[in-house]
Amino acid sequence: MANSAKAEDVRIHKTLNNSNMIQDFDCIITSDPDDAYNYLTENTAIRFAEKGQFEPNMEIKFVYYDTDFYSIENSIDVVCKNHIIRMGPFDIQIAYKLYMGSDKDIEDALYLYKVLREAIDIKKLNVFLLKLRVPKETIGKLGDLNES
Amino acid sequence: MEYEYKDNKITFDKELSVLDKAVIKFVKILDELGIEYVIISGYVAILFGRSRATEDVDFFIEPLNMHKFVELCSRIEKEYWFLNSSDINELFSMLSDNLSIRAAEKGNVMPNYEVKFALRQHEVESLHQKIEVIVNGNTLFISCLEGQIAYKFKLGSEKDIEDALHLYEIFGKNLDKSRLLSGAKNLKVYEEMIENGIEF
Amino acid sequence: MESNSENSNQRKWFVKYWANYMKSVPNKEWSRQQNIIIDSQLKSATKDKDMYMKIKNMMRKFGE
Repeated sequence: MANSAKAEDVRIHKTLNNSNMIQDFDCIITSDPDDAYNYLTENTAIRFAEKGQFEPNMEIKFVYYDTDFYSIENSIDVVCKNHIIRMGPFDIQIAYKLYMGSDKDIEDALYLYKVLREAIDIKKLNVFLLKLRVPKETIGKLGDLNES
Repeated sequence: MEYEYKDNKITFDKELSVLDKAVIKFVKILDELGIEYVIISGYVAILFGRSRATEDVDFFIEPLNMHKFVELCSRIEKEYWFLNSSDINELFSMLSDNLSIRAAEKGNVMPNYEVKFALRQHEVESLHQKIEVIVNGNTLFISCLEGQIAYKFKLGSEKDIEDALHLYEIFGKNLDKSRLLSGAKNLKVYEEMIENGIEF
Repeated sequence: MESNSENSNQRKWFVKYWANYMKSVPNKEWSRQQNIIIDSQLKSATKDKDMYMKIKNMMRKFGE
């Protein structure tokens, strides 16, 4: 979510109050908007779930790092059966997964790279791999995937 | 979570997921053929409520000779396919080399069942120290929780540690603390477990 | 970019939160919610056996 000054956030909160979101969802962490706002400004996520349950839930944070701003400014609309889901660009998602480095994260990155190859900006991917200092042998796996 | 944990047996009921039903169906094949098995890894935590999905379910099975393995494959291949290879000799060779093979329902890839022969000491121990779980009247065998928790810390990924913490939170007072400590020390993860709030 | 430890602590917090919630409601209720995640993932899972195993085999070689 884009960050906002508190007064603006109160406006956003009032808008949410009148929207379906508040009717249908609860914030799991706190029911106090001031508390929720404080969490967000401290770069801590808050979670929303449908009323009366906890799973599945949506984890929300304010943009904080420069890469967060890049994600929100370069988001991609994924249209699935007439529903639009806005996602962060794949180049940074793949780079971040490789940066996280667990087996599952690397597998996720390889899968996304393979499936979405045509939609990936390779130059930008390389920039993020460098920025995140992803080890060369890890980056090499993307190349191996291309060759095999 | 409501459950009964007594005499190495955990009994509980819940709404079964598609994954639970698939696992129950698969283990019936092993039961029919009298093959000893133990479920390890991520599915154990998921069975007990961990809120994540998984693409595969990991098994150790008792080492089989070729004749018994052919019998198992014949039974499996009625409804499942092997993802690694369709060559029985190759599959048997992989298992004998302590590699895993994967089977899934025909036409599907997930969930798949990653199967290994229990050959190494810790694998054999998992098989011998298994716990019986009766979920909605269906029997499954899982690895002992204390060993599972310590091993998850050994694997050390974020997901694995979260799985371990989940099991610890759910079963806390029912865990054998000395066994947990023993696992922590053997796998040299005592400090990590303490840092994550595990009490021995 | 968010560090591993920030993300990790937040995730661990939720693991404990969810476990405590599970202890406070009937099994039928927490499992119903859990199954939304599990069942939907399997419903949309890939059926591309070759690509799946290609990645798995790569990861195995990577780990050797």
